[in-house]
Order: sequence, then C-alpha cells, then structure tokens
Amino acid sequence: MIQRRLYSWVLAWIYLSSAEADIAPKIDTFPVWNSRYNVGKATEVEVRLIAAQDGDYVISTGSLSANVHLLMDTPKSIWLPLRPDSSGSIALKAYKRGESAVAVERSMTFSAIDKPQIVMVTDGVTADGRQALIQQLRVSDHDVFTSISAQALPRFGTSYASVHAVVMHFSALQTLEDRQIKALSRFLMQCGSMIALAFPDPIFKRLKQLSGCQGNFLVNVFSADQLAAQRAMLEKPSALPVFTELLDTRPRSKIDQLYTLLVIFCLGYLLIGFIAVGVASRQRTLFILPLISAGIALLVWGHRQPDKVLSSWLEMGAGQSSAWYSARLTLQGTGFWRERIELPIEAVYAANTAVDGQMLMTENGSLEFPVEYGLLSQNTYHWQSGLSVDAPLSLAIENGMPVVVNSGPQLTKQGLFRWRGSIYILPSLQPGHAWRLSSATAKAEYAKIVEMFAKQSRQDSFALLIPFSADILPAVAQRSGWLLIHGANSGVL
Amino acid sequence: MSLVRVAYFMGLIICLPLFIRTWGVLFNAETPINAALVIGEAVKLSWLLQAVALLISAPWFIRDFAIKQALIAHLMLIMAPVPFFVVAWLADAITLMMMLKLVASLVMVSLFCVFMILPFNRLWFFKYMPINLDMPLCLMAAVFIWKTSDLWLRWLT
Repeated sequence: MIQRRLYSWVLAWIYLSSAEADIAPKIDTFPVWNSRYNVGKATEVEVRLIAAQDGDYVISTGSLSANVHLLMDTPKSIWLPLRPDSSGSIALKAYKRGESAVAVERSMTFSAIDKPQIVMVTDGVTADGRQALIQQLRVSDHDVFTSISAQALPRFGTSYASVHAVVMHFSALQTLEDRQIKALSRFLMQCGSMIALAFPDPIFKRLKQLSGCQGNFLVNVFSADQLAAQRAMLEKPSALPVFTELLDTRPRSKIDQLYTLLVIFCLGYLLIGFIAVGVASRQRTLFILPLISAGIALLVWGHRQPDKVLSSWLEMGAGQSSAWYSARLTLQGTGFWRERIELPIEAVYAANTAVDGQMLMTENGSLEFPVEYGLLSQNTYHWQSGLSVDAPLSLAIENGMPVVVNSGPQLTKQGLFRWRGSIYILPSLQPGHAWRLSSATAKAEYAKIVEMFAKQSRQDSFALLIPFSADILPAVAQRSGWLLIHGANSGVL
Repeated sequence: MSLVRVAYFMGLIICLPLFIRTWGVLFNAETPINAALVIGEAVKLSWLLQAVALLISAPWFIRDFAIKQALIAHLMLIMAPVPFFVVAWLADAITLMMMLKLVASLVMVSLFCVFMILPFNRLWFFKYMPINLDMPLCLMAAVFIWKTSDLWLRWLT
C-alpha cells in the first residue's frame, strides 16, 4: 500500500516537473556585430525562441520586456535593442505569460571596443576580396573590422551607433529584410559612412538621395583598388551637430502660464491671509482659509494632463529626400498625472537618458514605459536620428543668383537665407511662388536663431532656414522646429 | 489682536520670505532645474522656522492666556503654511507621509512645550525667581532644534 502511494507520488512529481519544463521556451541568443559594442551606445540581440506549447510569452532583460506569441515547435526570432553597461553583461529571461516562476534564463557578454567599428558584410565578397578591402581601409592597427553576414545586420537604426562605416556588396543588399533596410537607411540618413560595392547606378542614386549630408559619406566602388581614393571619406567626422541650444526654440507660453497661475495662487493666499488677520470677525474664518486654499490647490493641480513640447532642428541637402535631426521632447508636469508613453528607441537609449519603470517594446519597435508627473516636474529626452522629408522649398542658382521656390502645397513661414556669408530675411512664400535675392532684401538682425543658423551653415555658400514642424512624434501636439536646407558645399561641418 | 490672529500672522510671515526665495530660484534658473528639490528645501526650512516659532512663542502665550487658547494659537501657526505644503506635495517635493509627519511633529513640539512649561513655572523655586526662566529654556530648546535640524529632518523626511 505504502509502496503504491509512494509510486503515485513519484509519478505525479515527474509529471509536474516535465510540465514545468514544457512551459518555459528554449532560447538562443545572437548578439549583433559579433558582440562588439561601444560603451554607452545601443546595440541589439536576436533572440530565437522555440516553445513546446502555443501561447503568449514574455522575454525580458533588465527593465525592458517584449511580448511574443509562439506556436508549438515553431522557432521565432525577436530582436531586442539593448544598451549594455561597461561590463557588457546582459541577462535574458523568457517565460510563458503568467508563469514567470518557471522561466528560462540566459546570460551573455558583449565586448566593449574603444572606437566605432568598420563592418564588412560578407555576402557577395570572397574571403580574399575582404582581405584586400581591409588592407585598403586599414588606417591604423587600432581599427576594428567586423565581418558579418547580411542576415545578421541589425533591425534597429540605433544599433548602428557603434558603427563607423559599412562595406556592403549589392548582392547583400538584395537579401535584406524590410526592417534591416529601414535600419540601414536610418544610419545613412544620419550621415553614416557606407562603401557600396558594385551597386547598380539607379539604386546607388536612390541611396545617395536618401543619405544625409548630401550623400558625402556614401561611395560606390567596383574594385578594391578604387578604395584608396575613398579612404579619406572614412576619416571625416560625423556631421551631426550637438544642439544644446535647442531649448531656446521651444515655446514657453504654457509653462509661463503655469508659473503665473502658481504665483497668483501663493501670493493671493498670503494677501488674503494678511487681510483676514486684520478684518476677519471670527477666528473660525482664519482656520477655514488655509483649508479652502489647500482644497483649491488640489482641485486645480490634483489631476492635470502634462504639457508635451517637441522641439526639433532638421538639416537636409537641397534635392535630398531625407533629413538628419536633433529633437528634444520636454514633458512638463502641470499637476499629478500618470501615464504610459511611447518613444522611439533613439530617445530612450540616448546618452544621459535614464528611464524609471519597466519598458515594453511595442510592435512598431518603439519603447513604452510609465511616467509619473508632478506639478513643475520636467522630463526631457534629447536624441538624434534621421527621417524622410519632402522639402517645402527648393534651392537653385539662376544667372549666378540664388532662387528659392515654394515647391510644396502650403504657405511657408518667414525664414532666413544665407548668401556669401550674409544672412537675409526670407519672406513667407505662397505655393508655387519663387523668391530671388535682390539688393533691396533686408539683412537679418542679430538673434539667437540667426547665430545658430550662421553656425550650422558656415560651410555653405548658400542655405536657408525656415520654421518647420517635423512629423517626428505625431502624438505630441505642440511641435516647433526649424529646417535648414544646405545649398552647396554642405553637409560636412 | 487675538492670539489666533497673532499666530496666523506669524505663520504667514514665515511663509512669505520662503516663497519669495523659492520663486526667485525657480524663475531665474537659466538651465532646467529640479523644482521638487528647491521646493522640498523650502518646506524643510519652513518646518524648522515653525518649530522655532512654536518654542519661542509658547512662554508668552502661556503666561498671558489659557492653555486651550495657547494650543489653538499654535494649531493656527501650524496650519498657516498647509496650502504651501499641499503645493509641495503636488510638485512631488514631499510625500503625503512626509507631510503628515512634519505636521504631527510640530503638534508634538507644541504640546510638549506647553505641558512642560506649565509645571515648570509652578515650581516654587522658579516661581519666586526675579526673572522667568521658561523663556531662556525655550530659546535653548529652539537653538538645539536649529543646530540639530539635519537629524530631525532626516528622520522626518
């Protein structure tokens, strides 16, 4: 009897253990760039999952988690953006939703490198060919070359943060997935360097038009020998400027309104208090006054939506279809408020940005996380990236003088125009209308924005700057910004 | 002027310079500033000034008025900055628990002070002294709280 009972207990234990083992999925990890990364920069990892049961699974690392639906015995890959700390250690955990106690864990280590690497995409290039390319590109012994297949290229543009240049054959480009092409495009939009190997002319031209800095960092070569002339391209600094002054372009009206309201409340309470001390006939009035004032404060600021302001500074070359930008999102608390916000990975993984709370990766590749606001609290996110833009104005030179045409469907606002070192006022232009610089054109007076424009266009013989609200975060209603269109000699700052 | 009016006036007078100082820091900041930290500091200073005001005023209040009146006056003094405390709470400068602890500690100071002074003044030794000693003792207590404010505030916040 006892033996039978013991036997049934053992059977039950074995059954439960195997059931638990089935709940957790099996995972394999494939870090991008052969695990190499620059400290403080974003990178990513491919996580391949296979489950013994259909269902929703969660994969998490640190404060980031992602949901994935798995079918029984069907492998599925999910790519996670990461920002490893200086140790490079990352721990991953995967479990079936609601069964976090039965989780499978993996740890991996990224190797930190001092300088951005040069990535050789192996597809379409022989081993000898790669060696010849590396010999041509190597400037010093400290250069880091990473060889990977096209399939291993990242799915997020942010993962190119630790890449200096990409060398890719056209056959590799043809095998890329949409997400990989988008990520590569984002890299090129931000003036990333790329050596295209034997790209057909129409494709190369399209890439050139898409690339930031007027495609100055994109070259097409057909043999390793041609690289020698292009090597200098890799040594040029990135053209993306750092906009600490971006704060000045944001509208302060709403924030000032909040400050004014608070001053009125505080001073009003003090004033009424002093008057009440002198004139109130009953002591009870004096007790009620602070309580009523506290109640008013709670009513006014107890539950209030925050003020979100996005400021941006875009730069593009004349005739280009993309712009590289610097954006600053300010979340100004105007009272108690809790919500989940969704931001691009660039914003969350930018330098000096820390997010409290658990982040969830959404289906469109953004990160969602909780934010708590208080009265006068301020959360700021500052990032740089690239996006496709239809330039509202086109620039040309006719008879040695510049012509600006409003090629878009909307009226453009008054801006600034640079010509031969002087800055003029560019008037507002109706759709289809053209503007020519003349001796009667007024010069711009000194202002912070004029100074900023002059600094950013110092390499250009002509350029223009107009107020422009970019479609960076459509959910943010208050958007302001500037678009700088470089004329000639542009891009390299 | 009644005792409650005096106490309320004292409470408002304590708030006024603190408000002006805090506002000056917040409004004149050229770079983004953590408003919660600035307001939190003002709240701590306000607590300290209130505690000192309670200690210093207690002997005067008890000497000329009934205990009940003295306690009500102290309550008024404690209540005067409550709207500012609420604003500080909304600004995430203090938590609700912190606010309750700050107010409760002030009530404790008031009660302790009032009920200690009474028997002290009735002792025959002190009763027939040429000068009242409750005032210097309260001053010493105020100085003690001022000097050890870091410890008190660390405990309360």
